Amino acid sequence: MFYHISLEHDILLHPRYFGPNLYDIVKQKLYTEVEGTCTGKYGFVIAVTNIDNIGAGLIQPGQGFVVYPVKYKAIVFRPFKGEVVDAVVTQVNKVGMFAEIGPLSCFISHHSIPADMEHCPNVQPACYKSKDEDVVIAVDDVIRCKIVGTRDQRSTLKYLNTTQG
Amino acid sequence: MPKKLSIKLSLRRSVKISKWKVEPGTIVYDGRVLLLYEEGDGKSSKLKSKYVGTVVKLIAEEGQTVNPGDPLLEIDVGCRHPTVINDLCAECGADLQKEDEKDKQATIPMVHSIPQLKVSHEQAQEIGKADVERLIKDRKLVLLVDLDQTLIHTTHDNIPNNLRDVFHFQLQGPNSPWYHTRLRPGTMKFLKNMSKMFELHICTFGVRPYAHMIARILDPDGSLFGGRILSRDECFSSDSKFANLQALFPCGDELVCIIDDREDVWNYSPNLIQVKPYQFFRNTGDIHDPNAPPLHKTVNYLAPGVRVKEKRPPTPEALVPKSDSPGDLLKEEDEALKDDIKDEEMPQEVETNDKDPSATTNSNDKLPVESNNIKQDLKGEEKEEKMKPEDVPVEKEVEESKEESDTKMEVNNFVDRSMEEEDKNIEEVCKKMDEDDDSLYKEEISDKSDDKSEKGVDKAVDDGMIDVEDDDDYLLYLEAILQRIHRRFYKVHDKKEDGEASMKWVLAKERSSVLKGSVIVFSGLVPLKASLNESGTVVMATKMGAVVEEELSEKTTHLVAAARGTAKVHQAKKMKGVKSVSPHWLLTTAHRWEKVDERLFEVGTGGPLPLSKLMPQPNKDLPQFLTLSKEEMDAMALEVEDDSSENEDEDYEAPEGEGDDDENTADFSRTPVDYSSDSEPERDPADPEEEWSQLGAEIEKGLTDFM
Repeated sequence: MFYHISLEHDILLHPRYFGPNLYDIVKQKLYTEVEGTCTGKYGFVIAVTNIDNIGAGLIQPGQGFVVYPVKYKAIVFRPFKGEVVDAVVTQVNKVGMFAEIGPLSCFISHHSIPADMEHCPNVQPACYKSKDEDVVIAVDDVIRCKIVGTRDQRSTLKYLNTTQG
Repeated sequence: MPKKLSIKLSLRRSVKISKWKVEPGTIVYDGRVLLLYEEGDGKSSKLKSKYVGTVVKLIAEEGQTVNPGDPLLEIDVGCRHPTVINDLCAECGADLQKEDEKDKQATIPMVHSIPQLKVSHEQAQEIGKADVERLIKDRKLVLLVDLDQTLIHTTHDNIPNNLRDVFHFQLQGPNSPWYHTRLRPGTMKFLKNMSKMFELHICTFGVRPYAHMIARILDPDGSLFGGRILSRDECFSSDSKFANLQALFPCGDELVCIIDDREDVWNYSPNLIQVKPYQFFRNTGDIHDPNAPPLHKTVNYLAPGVRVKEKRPPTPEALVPKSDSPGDLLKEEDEALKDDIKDEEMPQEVETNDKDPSATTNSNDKLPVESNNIKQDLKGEEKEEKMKPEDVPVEKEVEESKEESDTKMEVNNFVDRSMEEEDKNIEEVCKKMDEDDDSLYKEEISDKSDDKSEKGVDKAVDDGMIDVEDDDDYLLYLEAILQRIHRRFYKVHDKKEDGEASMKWVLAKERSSVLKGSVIVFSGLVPLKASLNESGTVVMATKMGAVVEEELSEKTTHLVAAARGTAKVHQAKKMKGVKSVSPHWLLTTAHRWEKVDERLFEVGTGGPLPLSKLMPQPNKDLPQFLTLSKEEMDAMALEVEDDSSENEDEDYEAPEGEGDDDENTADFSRTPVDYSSDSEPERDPADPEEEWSQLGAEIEKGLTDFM
């Protein structure tokens, strides 16, 4: 699920950046440090939409580095158990298949794949096929699946309910 | 623990069960469809499970009408977590990090490149069984392919960037070390042919990015290997690939055949075909060889037996382009024709060809023509190389007339057979012979140039690439071996022949037919005090079906002697029917799985004997890399250089040099001077010299004879 939420982040800045462009650099650093990261609580930070406030910098004793507390708004993607999502298949093997839900990679066990579909490693590319061959899942196909469990920091797992888009 | 639970119909009305979608043993989870039912109005609906568990038995039957509260089926509630990824159960989503250790049943990583995905023993059996059935149905077997020194050779050394058929790549971004990989001649063809009979897997000690990079080079569209790439990252043990076999093939290794240049990493598995190690770059025994001294002279970057094509004055026939279609029949005929012609002059070489009809084809592929074939496949790469016009003097790729290179190849071949002695004298002889042949064949050439010029002209003359002669033709033998095995296996499997349909049996059987009927006596190979049966050489001969005896007798067919002067050699000379051969005869036979012509391996020929090769090495301690000082390295480099005229084989057969030790090497090359200074070099340079001093005289003699 996507959320647009307010978040905070501390930016540690080297004194060499002190100068007229200081705030630009802080902003730039925020983008690079935050976008694309993932936390267990909020999920993936997809994009920073707005920087609300850059607080007063605090010089670290004995170092000269400065810490800026930054408040910003960002779009985050947080997968939930039980959520139904669309995913793109990235790999098919005999134990199941791997798919990507945006930045989230997930695994779909062959037990979770409809029982009438079987793994066909011989055809190029390898795929899961139903017996009458009217449903084929191969790499790059879109599937719809339900998340049964997540492990924070990237890899997660899930299960597939239905197929094919 | 799972507890049994019977699921009751929780609807308000009675319904008719139209179809079960599960059966005993099925793993169900929340949301899984259990059955289809019909209500009174004939509408079909699905009943889904609310539990996670395994179906024990079905109580209601299809077609039966059940009332609310009637039991439908029994399930074992609770997931056994048969498939686990990152410690999450892939069936129920349970986080196994929080649960008891004993609940973790899934321990077998069945998918090559994803070690974090594990399945339980039963699951593995089930999947493995399905795999075996599928393979048998397709009449395929499994072939585990090693990369380094089996199919390719990779180096970190500085080499010219316009060598033909050498791939250059970096693994860790723009400032990481460059890798240079050369494919063994015929690799593409070999893999393509093998993929029809075998399911190919890569099993390498290279790190994952390296393995996948090589796989991309060998197999750009993923049709050969698919995702079946096992790299160092997935290996259970850092010095053995053997442990992974069980995980990849839970139903046993009956169908599994392995090709590797090292036996030890497979615990001397009976499923292994040990191949002749491939060496192309001079100073790198293996990409993982920490002993390899840094390169000093770029001239010498190539391994013995591999030579840069010589520059020749462009004669008219030199401009005749070579045909570049693979396996060109016409060419083969030409070749055969020429072989006949040559018969008068070079009877010895022709012997080889006569012996085996396929040998003619073989010789074809030794030519750089083969390289051209590969080049075709990989034009992209080549273009890239072309784009770097360098200061390297543009070696005009003067296409030698085929006859020329043919002869040269034959000669090289001979050199090869005499174990690649890179002796100046021999080279000179080669050249001289070439020139002689030159004049001899000129007439013929003009005749033939017509039909040749029809074929791809553009392939030709000057694209700034350095052509190398690489007469390694081992893959052709290997292909033949594997074909034999495949044929034999399915013969046995189809009960057309008695035996056990398992790879171990087939390999042992095929191998033992190689020297069947031969009675071999060794001279100067087995230490006096050692028991005959414990010697690696003897074991090798016995495996090939030969009978090994201690003394010469009436029955003896071969005397394998390390040197010419032994008493047994003199005795054998007087006996009829005993062929005296050098140990290389045995070695070559073992590599090719066919009895090679004894005349090519007379005692005293074949160059220095890499004894280490013949003796299976006991597990050596892993080489301690980064322990040499710069001075020591340099000294060793010189040592090698000095000895190089005779010492080549030792160089690449030094067993500790063959570890697939990618990670190490990567570090190694990044910090080339980071050797701590105060320790012993792990390869004692005196060692080979001892061997040498004994054999030196013999070699000298051998050379004079040759000339």
